[in-house]
Amino acid sequence: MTGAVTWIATWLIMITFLVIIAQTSWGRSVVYWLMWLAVALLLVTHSDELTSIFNVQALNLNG
Amino acid sequence: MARDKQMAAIKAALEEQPHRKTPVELPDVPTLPIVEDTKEEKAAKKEADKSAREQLKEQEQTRLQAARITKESQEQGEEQSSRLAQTLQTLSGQVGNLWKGTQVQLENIPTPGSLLLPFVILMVFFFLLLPVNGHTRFIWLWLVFTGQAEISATSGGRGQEAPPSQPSAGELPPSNVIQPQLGIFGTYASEVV
Repeated sequence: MTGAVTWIATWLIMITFLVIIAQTSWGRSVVYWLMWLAVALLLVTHSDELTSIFNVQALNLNG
Repeated sequence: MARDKQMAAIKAALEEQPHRKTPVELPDVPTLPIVEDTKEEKAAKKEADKSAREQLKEQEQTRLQAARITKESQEQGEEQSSRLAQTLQTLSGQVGNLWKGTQVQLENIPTPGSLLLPFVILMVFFFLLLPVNGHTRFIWLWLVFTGQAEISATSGGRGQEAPPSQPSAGELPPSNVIQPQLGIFGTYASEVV
């Protein structure tokens, strides 16, 4: 229970902080590119799951 | 001697008329003679006065010197504090300029589209693409809506249509089974209460 609360609290704090700095003129571009960086990192780290649909059976099924 | 004679005359006059009611006319007794200082005494007095004046002068000079020294040290202290304040001001100005320059550079970085696009892509990743315990979160949501999801105490979430999330010992997982991986937030779904 404590771990989940910590997890949620950490995410909420991080999101609040990002929203606050996104309201400033200089923070908008920082948050924008940080989010794209997060997308890129997720693509790289979860490439296995994302490409798992491209397996032999699926390819055979789909011709 | 003269004084003695005078005193004797007064005494005699008093003895001659002892019962007189009218005041007795006393002979004129001169006041004490004024003794003037001698020349040596005058010179000594002059010397003493002179030395006293000189001492006073010296004391005055010492006091003035001390006051001047105090004033100089105060001025030095004030000068140092003003220099320090000036340095601090210059430093804060430079830091402000540096921050402003950085701010301007950050503002000029282009952000094509809006913040919404990367946010939506991240949400798509979160719900649709990353499987947890065999299904993606979106599929789990669907299973919950259709009443096909169950939570057990030992194995966490399990959907009725889901393949086994953990292969048994000695068996290779089927190729279409997605092995559970840590979610994008670093936890398994079963760990989130």
